[in-house]
Amino acid sequence: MSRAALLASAVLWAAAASAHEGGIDARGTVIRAGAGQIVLRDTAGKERRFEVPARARVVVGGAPSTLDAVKPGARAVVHAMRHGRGFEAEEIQAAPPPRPRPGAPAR
Amino acid sequence: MRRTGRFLLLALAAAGLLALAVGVAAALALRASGLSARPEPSALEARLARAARRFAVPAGVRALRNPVRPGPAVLAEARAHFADHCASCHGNDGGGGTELGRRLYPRAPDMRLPATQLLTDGELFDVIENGVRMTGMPGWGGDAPPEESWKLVLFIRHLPDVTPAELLEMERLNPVGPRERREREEDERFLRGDPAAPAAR
Repeated sequence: MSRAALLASAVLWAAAASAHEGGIDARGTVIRAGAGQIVLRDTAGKERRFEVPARARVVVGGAPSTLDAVKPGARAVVHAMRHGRGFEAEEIQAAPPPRPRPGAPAR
Repeated sequence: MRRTGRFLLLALAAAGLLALAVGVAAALALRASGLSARPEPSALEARLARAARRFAVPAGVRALRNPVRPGPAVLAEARAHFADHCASCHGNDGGGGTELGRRLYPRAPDMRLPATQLLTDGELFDVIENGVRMTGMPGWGGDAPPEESWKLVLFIRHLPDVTPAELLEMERLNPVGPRERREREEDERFLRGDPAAPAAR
């Protein structure tokens, strides 16, 4: 493929991706996830709550997954759009939950 | 003879009037539409267009069979190629539901459906290599070996069965602008535990 055509497709794709403008992205640690909701504590310490509709995509450890697999304590990135007075997640990317330290009591 | 001649004259006149009427109607329709790409193509227009495209493909090309044998490595290659070159219009899943795909005229087709899947290997190859005139489909032939287009035909056949994991992999291969690339890298660093990654945007 010519470089010009590849550059054109990248520009067009970037233009389409900018349709995410108007949304928010949050990075933080999962406080709780399930029942159509995820709550993060972002790196500024603020609690962020997002509704999670059935169509939202959930990725855990780099693989497609479900909201139930997102565990408290895991790092997560939420891409969301404003919905009414709150935000609705479009995509949640989460790291696998942290492993307990040896000797730490099981939760 | 005179009656035959008169009949012929009348027939010619009628044909001429009909052609004039059709021409005027077409001109009025053109003026009304403004050649806008926003309305949906009518079912008749879509059917005629597909029939014309089918007719235009030589029988020998239509009868071609894919010379590339399917396999995981070939499919992975084709998937990467599709993500990088085709998905901006067709979508990673071939559904055509992208910003560009929905706004082209005709729309980028949902390639998982029979209208695409029932085309022969040769027809799919021909569309990739030569494009389709007066649509948004470019002709990619000439820049790369034909084998690359044949591999894409294999991937198009796989589209109805594409998995969520494959779609996720493709997203990482889609071309993105510098801002989105940077944001994606920051997301990945954060998820890996890099304490220096920004909080949010």
